[in-house]
Amino acid sequence: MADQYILEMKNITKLFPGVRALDNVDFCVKSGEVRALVGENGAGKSTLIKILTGVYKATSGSITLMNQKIDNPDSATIKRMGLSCIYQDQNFVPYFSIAESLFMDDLPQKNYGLIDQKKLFEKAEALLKRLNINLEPHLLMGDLTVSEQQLIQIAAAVHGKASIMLLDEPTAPLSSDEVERLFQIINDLKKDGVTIIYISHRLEEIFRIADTVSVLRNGKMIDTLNIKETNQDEIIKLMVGKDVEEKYPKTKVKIGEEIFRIDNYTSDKVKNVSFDLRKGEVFGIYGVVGAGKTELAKLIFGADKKEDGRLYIDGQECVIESPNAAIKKGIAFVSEDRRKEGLVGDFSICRNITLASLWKYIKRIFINFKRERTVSQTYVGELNIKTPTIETLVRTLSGGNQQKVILSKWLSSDAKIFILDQPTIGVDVGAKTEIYRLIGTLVSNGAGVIFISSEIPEIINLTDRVGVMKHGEMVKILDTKETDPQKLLAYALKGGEL
Amino acid sequence: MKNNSKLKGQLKSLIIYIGLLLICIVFAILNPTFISPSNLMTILSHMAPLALMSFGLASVMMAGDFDLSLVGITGFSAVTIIVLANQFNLLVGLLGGLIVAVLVGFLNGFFVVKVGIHPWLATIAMMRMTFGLEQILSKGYAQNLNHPFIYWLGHSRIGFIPAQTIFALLIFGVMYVLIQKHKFGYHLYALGGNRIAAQIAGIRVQKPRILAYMLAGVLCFFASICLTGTLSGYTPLATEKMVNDTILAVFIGSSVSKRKVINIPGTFLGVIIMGIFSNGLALIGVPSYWMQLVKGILIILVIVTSSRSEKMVQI
Repeated sequence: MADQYILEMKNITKLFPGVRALDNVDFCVKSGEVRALVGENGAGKSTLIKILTGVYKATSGSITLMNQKIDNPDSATIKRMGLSCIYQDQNFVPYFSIAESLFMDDLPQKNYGLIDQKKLFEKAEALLKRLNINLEPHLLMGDLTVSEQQLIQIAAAVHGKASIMLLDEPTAPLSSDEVERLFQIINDLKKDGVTIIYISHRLEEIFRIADTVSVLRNGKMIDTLNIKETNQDEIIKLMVGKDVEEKYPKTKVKIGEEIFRIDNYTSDKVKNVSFDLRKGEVFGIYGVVGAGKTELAKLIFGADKKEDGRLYIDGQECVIESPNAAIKKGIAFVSEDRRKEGLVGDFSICRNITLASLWKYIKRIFINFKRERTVSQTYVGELNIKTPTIETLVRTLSGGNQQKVILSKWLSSDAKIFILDQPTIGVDVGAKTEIYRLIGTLVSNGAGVIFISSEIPEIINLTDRVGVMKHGEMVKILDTKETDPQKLLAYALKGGEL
Repeated sequence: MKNNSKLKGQLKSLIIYIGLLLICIVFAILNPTFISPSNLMTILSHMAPLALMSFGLASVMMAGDFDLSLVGITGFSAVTIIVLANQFNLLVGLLGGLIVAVLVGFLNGFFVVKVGIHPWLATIAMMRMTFGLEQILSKGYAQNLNHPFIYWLGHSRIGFIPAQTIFALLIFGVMYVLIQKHKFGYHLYALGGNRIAAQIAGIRVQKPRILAYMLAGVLCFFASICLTGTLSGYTPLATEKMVNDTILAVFIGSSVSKRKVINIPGTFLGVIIMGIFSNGLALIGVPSYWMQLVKGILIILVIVTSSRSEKMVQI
């Protein structure tokens, strides 16, 4: 049984208009293994998965699941056969409670299909308790944070009796302790003999939990390796097709005078935060999920209500009570939730890039489309945004490319102060490096960057100084050169003085 | 202090009812007939067809679809009942009305869900067709139906409540259970909330939506019986103007719910509000030129106040 293939996808080809998304791909997984699937954004991972789950139909190829040939997969059938999925997209009903979302596929029922509310909540409570998730089952999904929503989606997939579980970037919105919890769950599932397909950009994770790893590049299956016989560099090389010279390129910039400062900034979620930012500096903000990093960013940007505190730009006090005012003062904000807050999905790339500075393209009352297009085209080229044309709708792009569109938007807006909230979430290795390089370009052009991240390597390698946050307070500001990962984590978890 | 804010919260949740009561008091002061028992019963009995159609629309809209043809289905079904009942007997008539209503509902579902036509386009076309069939069948003349049961449904009372109101309340009960307590309604909510999430959870994407359209057809059939009762027959295109009211009732319903979702009790409240406004404004003698304007303002007021307060309908 152990050596049998539980899933065989053979000669899968998928053509989209103008693109060969998958080219004769074989993907076979043995029963009981943890298989990682890696590849850059746009390599075809999502397409392959969507074909398996019936969201797309393959142009050609065959799928065999548990020795049954499936001609026309659809989600319901696949699910009933025992394959359960967790996608990176936000796939939940915002007005459902946690309990309802957890048991969406098999609601406890009384006679005649009536829903047993009492039992539903009991089961939900038990499941949450078993998985150590500390949330009330009656809360609505739409009111949860991104990481809580993700945990609930994982929990929903876990409760069923799946024999294969597919996780697409499950850790992207999770904090490090939540990731540990997820790995615990995966290990338990593995012990129960569940086969796991694990898609992630985080290679460290793959080396921790996977048995084998398959690499996709440009729609082709490059290789499948035993995890014990390979290393990160080899995988990266296979993914990119060439050696990656530097993972964290940091541009050397002379740091100038103070351009931005906040004193005692306070809201209902942020307490007394003070720090300053200098010209040419990358100021990191580190903290675990829930430390108030995003809340601080939104507060500075005028998107949340301030209770107290002062803000100075170039030494002059400014009042910023709305994002509009912040943009006028030269502050740019790249949100952590790019789908919800960063982009207009149904606008073209071009229109998204010029969104924050459209006034620059308006002559009398008309938009100068030609200039708009030229400028957008420049950014698409400079940032290497992979797209057929600049008229392509943004929602059809991959995560990394969407992030680059957001950055272009702010680059074209003459901002001087950039707040980047987890800009590399869900972005592959290659695109990450490009985003890091872009941060370098920003600071060498005289901007200041506030770089928010819960990934320590990014903070250590890219910032000049770092402020550590815990429970809405900035507990410590450190010189990045004089710190190390252990110290950062210790401040983030324990706060104050060590 | 804490008690105070709690009280405030409760008051806030009651604000729409208080507002409604105030409006009723104003109506009653300006024209005491408004609160006469016979007028209240008129309001109630006139509400039945609108309520039934609105429940149908609510079920379709919950799943993320839309249906503008419901008024047409009701009219077509009414004419079918009358023509067949006069030719054969009432049972044949009712059966015929039910069949055409469900069939048109199914066609709506088929074109929207299977063929993939946008719900607005498909159901506007269907509205035209049903109004057309209704006129062809009736040749544009008012149709009479003299049958004791139909007359009883339209004109008599059980206790002091009009028979068709009781009928509508029964259907309300069934719909409440089906939509708010049953798996079916839950699936519709899931499909309307996030179709992909529902699909991933193994909920069928097509069947419940087609069933919702057919259910709406059945409810239109019920509405057509009530309407035939009230009118002792049917005047072609009598339902045409009700289309806006069904949509409004559903939206008022979602704006008064805790989760801001379309729901059956809220829709019922919406229907009651629409009924009171239409009747009250006519009774206090708002000049007919002013009627539309005043009604529009009142509706905006209802929606603004209800969206600012919380927890009116616990769904």
